[in-house]
Amino acid sequence: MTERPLLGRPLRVAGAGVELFIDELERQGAPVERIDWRPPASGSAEALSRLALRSHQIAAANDEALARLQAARPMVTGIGMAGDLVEDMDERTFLHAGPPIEWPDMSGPLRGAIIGAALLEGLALSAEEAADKAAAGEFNFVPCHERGAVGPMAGVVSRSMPMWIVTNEAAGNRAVSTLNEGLGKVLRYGAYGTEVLDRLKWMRDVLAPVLSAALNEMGEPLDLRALIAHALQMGDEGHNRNRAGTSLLLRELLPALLTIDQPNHDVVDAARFVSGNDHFFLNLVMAAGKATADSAAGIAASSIVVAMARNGTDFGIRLSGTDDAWFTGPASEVDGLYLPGFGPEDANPDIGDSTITETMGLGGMAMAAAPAVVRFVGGSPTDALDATRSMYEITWGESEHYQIPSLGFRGTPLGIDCRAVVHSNVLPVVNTGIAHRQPGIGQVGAGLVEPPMKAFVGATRALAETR
Amino acid sequence: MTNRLIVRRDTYYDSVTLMLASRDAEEVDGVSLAAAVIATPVNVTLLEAQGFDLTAVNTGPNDVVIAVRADGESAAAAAESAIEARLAPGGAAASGREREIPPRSFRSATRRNSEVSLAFVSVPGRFATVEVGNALAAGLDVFCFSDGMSLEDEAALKRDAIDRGLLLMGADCGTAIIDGVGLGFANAVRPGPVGIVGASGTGVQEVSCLLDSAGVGVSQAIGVGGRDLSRVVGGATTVRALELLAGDDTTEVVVVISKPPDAEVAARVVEAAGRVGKPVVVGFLGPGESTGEKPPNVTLVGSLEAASVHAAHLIGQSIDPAVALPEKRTPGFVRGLFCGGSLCYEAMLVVAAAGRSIASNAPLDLGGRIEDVEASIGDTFIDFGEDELTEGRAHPMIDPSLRNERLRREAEDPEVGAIVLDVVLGRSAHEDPAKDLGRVISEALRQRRNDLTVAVSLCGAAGDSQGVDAQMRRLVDAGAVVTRNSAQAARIAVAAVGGGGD
Amino acid sequence: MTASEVRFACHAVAAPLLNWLQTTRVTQATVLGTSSTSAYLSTGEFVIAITARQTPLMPNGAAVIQGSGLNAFERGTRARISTEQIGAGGVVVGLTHAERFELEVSRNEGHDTAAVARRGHDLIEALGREHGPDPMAVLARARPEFASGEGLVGVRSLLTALEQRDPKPAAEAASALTGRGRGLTPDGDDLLAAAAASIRAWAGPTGMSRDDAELLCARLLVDDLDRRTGALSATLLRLAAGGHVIDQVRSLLDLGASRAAWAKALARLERIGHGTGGTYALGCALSALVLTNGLQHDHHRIGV
Repeated sequence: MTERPLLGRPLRVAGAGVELFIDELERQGAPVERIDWRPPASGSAEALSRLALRSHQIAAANDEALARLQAARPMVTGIGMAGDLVEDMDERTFLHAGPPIEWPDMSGPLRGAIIGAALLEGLALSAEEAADKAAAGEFNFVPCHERGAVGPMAGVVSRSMPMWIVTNEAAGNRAVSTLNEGLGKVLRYGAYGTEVLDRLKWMRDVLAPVLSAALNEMGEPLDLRALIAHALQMGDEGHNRNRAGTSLLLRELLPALLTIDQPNHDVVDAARFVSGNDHFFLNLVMAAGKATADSAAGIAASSIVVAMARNGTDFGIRLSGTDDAWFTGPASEVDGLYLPGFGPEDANPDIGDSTITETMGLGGMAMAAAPAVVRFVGGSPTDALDATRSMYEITWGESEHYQIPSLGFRGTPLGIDCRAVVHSNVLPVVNTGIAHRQPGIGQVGAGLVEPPMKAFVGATRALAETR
Repeated sequence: MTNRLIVRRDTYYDSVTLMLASRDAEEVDGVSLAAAVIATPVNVTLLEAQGFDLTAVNTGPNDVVIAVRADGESAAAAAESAIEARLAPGGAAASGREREIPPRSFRSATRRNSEVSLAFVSVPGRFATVEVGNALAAGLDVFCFSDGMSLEDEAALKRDAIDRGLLLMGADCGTAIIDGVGLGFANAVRPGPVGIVGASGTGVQEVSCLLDSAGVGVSQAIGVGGRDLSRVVGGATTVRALELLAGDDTTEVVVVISKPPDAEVAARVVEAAGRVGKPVVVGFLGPGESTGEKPPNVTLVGSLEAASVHAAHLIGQSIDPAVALPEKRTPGFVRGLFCGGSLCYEAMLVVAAAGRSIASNAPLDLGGRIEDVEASIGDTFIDFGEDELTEGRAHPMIDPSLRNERLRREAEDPEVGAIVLDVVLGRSAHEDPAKDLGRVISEALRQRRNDLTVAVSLCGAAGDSQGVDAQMRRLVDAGAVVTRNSAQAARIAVAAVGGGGD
Repeated sequence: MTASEVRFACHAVAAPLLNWLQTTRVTQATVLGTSSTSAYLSTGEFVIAITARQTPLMPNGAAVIQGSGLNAFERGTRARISTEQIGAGGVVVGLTHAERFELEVSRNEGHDTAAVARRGHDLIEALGREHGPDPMAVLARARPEFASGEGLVGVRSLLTALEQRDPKPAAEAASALTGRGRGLTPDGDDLLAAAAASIRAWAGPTGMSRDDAELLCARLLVDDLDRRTGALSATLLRLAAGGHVIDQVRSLLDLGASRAAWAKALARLERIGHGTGGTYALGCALSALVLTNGLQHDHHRIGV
C-alpha cells in the first residue's frame, strides 16, 4: 500500500494541450485521460475567461435552473382560444415562430402562413391584399416565445385559433401551442388555399370542442411528462418522431371520447383526424417544453439555454441569465434526405419553434431513443447513440424523467450550457423537417441541422457582461 | 444450496483484490459464503471439509480458487459475475466507461471518470484562464504549464482554488513531482525526505538533482508558478504548499526556491515556513539582506547551490560546492546562453558578485536590461526560455537549436573569453542534448584553441533516460568544463576571464 | 496508450534479488499478477516482486520511483530479465541506477535475552491494544483460523519448537502451517517465515548456537515446499529462513532499533497486504516470548 497521497487522493491526470507532456506521463506509468482539446469558438475566449472566474456563481445558478427543469411537470389542462389565452392578442397581432422578424425578411413559408392567418381572421379577402397589408405594416408580428406560446414550422397564431393549454404543475406557469394540422398543404408550411382555411375552421369549430369536452370529461389534467417519458421508451424522440406519443394520447382520450355528449360524426371525424396524423403529439411536446424551460428562465448568472427557435431566416436562442434577450445567427441549411423530385435548391432555411424539444432534452438530444431518424441522413443506429452521447458534453445534467433504454436507461442530456457549446465546439444536434422555400408546397424532406455558433457566442459574450 | 468454484490458474491477485472479490460476492443476496484462497493442498482440504468438491478441478498451489455458497442458481450466478468483474484486468473500475468519444472538457472527463484528480493544462496562453477555471470547477487540482495568463486572473483563480480546497500549480509552472510522478520538465530523482516548493522550474530541477547525487531523495516537488510570489498573487500557492508538506509524513526537510519575491510576500512566506514544524531552507535567489525576525526552524540562503548544501546537511549528507578553478586564463567577456531561467539567474548572481556588470533579457535588475537581444554587449546573459525567444517555437529544453546557434556566433567573437551554458536532462527534455551541443562546442574550441573557455552546468539525475554520464562524457570530450550546478560553471567562467570586472 | 514504451525507474533493489540476478542463468520470467502498486514475475525457481514507491521493499523485490501504474504489466506476458532491466511487452523496469539494499536481519550482537523478552512484550502490548496483552488471545482474535483445529496444533508445535529448540515439532509445525490460510501469502507461511527470521535475529542473544539455529530454520521449510504453497510465498519463506525479510520486519527484529523506529515499522506492517504484515508482527512477537520462556506454557491453554 502506498503512503497517503500528497493531494489527498491517488494521482490520476487529465491532460489538455501539448501531447509531448501527456505522453511523458504515460511513459512513467501514470494513468492519463486525454482531453480532445481544441480552441473555443472564434470570438468567445475573452468572455469564457471572464465567466471562468465566476464559475462558482454560475454553477449555483445552473444548478437552480437544472433543478427547475427537472421538477417541471407539464400537464394538459384544457383547450382555449388564442385571443383569450394570449396577452395583448388583438386582431392585428400574429404570433410566429423564432426570434423577432419583420415582413421584408420573412421567408416564403412564413409569409404564406401570415397570409393564410389573415384570411382566416377575415382581415383580407385575397392573398394579394393580405400581403400588401403585411408589407404596409398594418399587422403586428410577435414571436410566439414572447407570449408564452410555441408553434411548429411557421408557427403562426391568430386570435381565433384553438390552443392547447399546458400548465407546469411544479412552478405554476403556463404555455400554449396550436393543434397540429397534419401533413401536406397546411398553414405551417405556408399554404393558404381554401382547403387549408377550411381545415383550420373545422379544427376550431369541431376538433377543439370535441377534444375540450373529452378533457373535461377526464376530470383531471393529462400528465404530459409521463406520456412523453413512455413515448421515449417506445421509439419516439419528441421532435421528428411522435407516433408513439400520438398513440398514447389517443389511448388516454379514448374512454372520454366515447362518453362525451357530442355529435357522433364529429367525434368520429376528430378521432380519425388525430389517429391519421403521426405528428399530432408534437405540439403538445413543444408546449410541455415551453412550460418546462420558461420555469428555468430569469436566473441571474445562469448559462442554461431556455429557448432555441427559428423563423426561417434567423436562428435565435435565449439564456436563463440574460432575461429576454435574443441572440441570433443565420438559420442553417438542413443536411437531410429529400422526397422524390426535390433537392437542396428547393429547401427553405431551418424554421420553427420545435427546437424547444431539444431545449428540454428531447429531439436530437434523445436521438439514441429513435435510431430510425438517422435514416434521414443515411446514418446507422450507432450514429444515433453517438449523437446523444456527444450531447452530454454540453449539458449541465441528465433528465431524471426522460430515459433512454439503449443507453441503459440513462437520462437524456438536459440543460444546454451555452459556455460548453462555445468552449467545446459542440453544437446541439437537431432533427427537423425541411419546408419548400415557396409557400404552400409543404414538406420536401427531413434531416439534421446545426444551430449557428454565432448565436451561442453572442449569448456567451452577453452573459460575461452581466454581474 | 448451490456451490460454485471459480478457478484462475497460475495467476496472482494481490490480497486486497482477493478480499474485495470475496466481499463483493458475500454482499449478493442469498450468498452465505465466499472465500478466495490460494489453492494450496491445505486450503483445498479445508474447502473440501466445508463441503466443496474440488476433485474435478485439478488445482495447484499457484492457482486461485474462489468458493461460493448460495441458496440458489441466480444468487450463485450473480456472485460469480461480481467476482469476475473484480478479477477482470483493470478491475471493477474499468466497466461502464465510454471510450468511443473522447471528452472535450475537464468537466466532461470528470463526469465520466470520478477518479481523475489533477488537470494538466498546456494549452495556448490565451485559453489558460478558461481551462484552469474549468478544471477547478470540476474539482481538480491543477498543474498549469501554460503562460500568458494575466496576474489578476492568476490571483483570482488561486483564491478560487483555496476556497475549493484545491492546489493550483502555475500559471507558468514548468516542473513538479507529485507522489513520484514527474509533471512537465522533471528529473527521475529517488524518493527521500526533502520536499521542495519552487517558483522556478529549473531551480527545482537543479536542487533535486544535486540532492539526488548526494544520496538525498525528494518526497515531493510542488511547483507554484513563476509569479506566485508577486505582490498581486501574494504567495497563495507557496503558503498552501508549505501546509501540505508540513502534513506529509515522508517529508522531513523543506526547501523553498524562488527568484527575489515582493518584500511583503517574502515575509509572509517566511512566516508560513515557521509554522511547518520541520526545518525549512528558504532560497530567495539574490544577495538580499534578511529583514526582521526569522523563525528558528528557517534558514535563509541566496542561491540554489546554497539551498541544496543546507538541505543535504540537514539530512546528514554533504554536498561540497567547491570546484577546481581553471589555471589557464582566457581573458575577455563572459557570455551566458541558457535554457533554464533560474539557472541563468543563479549564474548571473555569481558573475555580478565578482563585480562585473551584466546585460540580459532577464536581468538581475532593471538597469541591466539589454537593448537588442540579438546583439551582445560586454558581459551578456541570454535566457532562451523568455517569451521573445520562444514565440512560435518549442521551449529550448526541448529544442535547443536557437541557443546552440547563438553559441556558434558568440564563440567566433574574439572579445569573448568565456561562455557559460546549461544542459538540462530529464522528462520531456531533448533526448540527447549533448550531441549537437558537443559538436558546436568542439568546433568553436577548434577555431579558438587557446583563448576560449566553455563551462557547462549539467543538470540531471542518475535515473534520467538521457544518461547523465554519457552526456557528461560527450561534453568533456568536446572540450567543455562540465559541472553539476550552474553557480560552479559561472565561477569557472569568471576565473577564466580573470575575475572581477573593470 | 499512444506512448510506445512505459519505463519505470528503479531506485532500490533488494540484495538477495540482485545476487540472484547476478548469478542466475535464467533470462525469462512470466508476469503472474499485477496491481497498481505491485507486479509479480515468476521464473519458476524465484518470484520477483516489483513494488511502487513507498510500498515496502520485499527481499525479492525492486522498488520503483513511481507511486503507481505497475498494472501496465500484463498478466501472463513473458518478461526478459537481466541485471540491467526487467521488461515485458512495452513495459520496462530499469535497474542500472538502483541502489543495492541490504535486508538481512541483525544478529543483535551485544544484546541479551532480557532485551529479546522486552521486545516481545512490547510488541504484544502494541498488537494487543484492544484485546489485552495475553499473546494467545491476541493470536486467537487476529487469526481465528489458528485458534482451533489443525491450525492451532500447528501454532502450538511452532511455539514448542522455538521454546525447546527442538527440530521435531518444528517439522510438525511446518507441515501443519504451510499453505494454510488466506491471502496471497497464506497466513501459516507468514508465521513460519516470521519465526525463522526471529530465530536468525535472536539466536545469539538467547544463547542458541549457530548450528541449532540453522537446523531449526531448515526444519521450518517442508521438503515439498513448492507443491505445498504458491511460488511467491515459497520464495519469501526461503529468504526468511536465510535471514532476509522486508525492512519493517527487520526493524522489529533489531534490538538496537529505538521504540520510535520499531513502532513506526509496526504501524506500516499492519497496513501491508491484507494482514500479511500483521501476521509477521504477531509471529515475531510470539517467537520472542517463547525463545525467552516468556509464555510459561500459556500456549497450551488457548483455544477456548
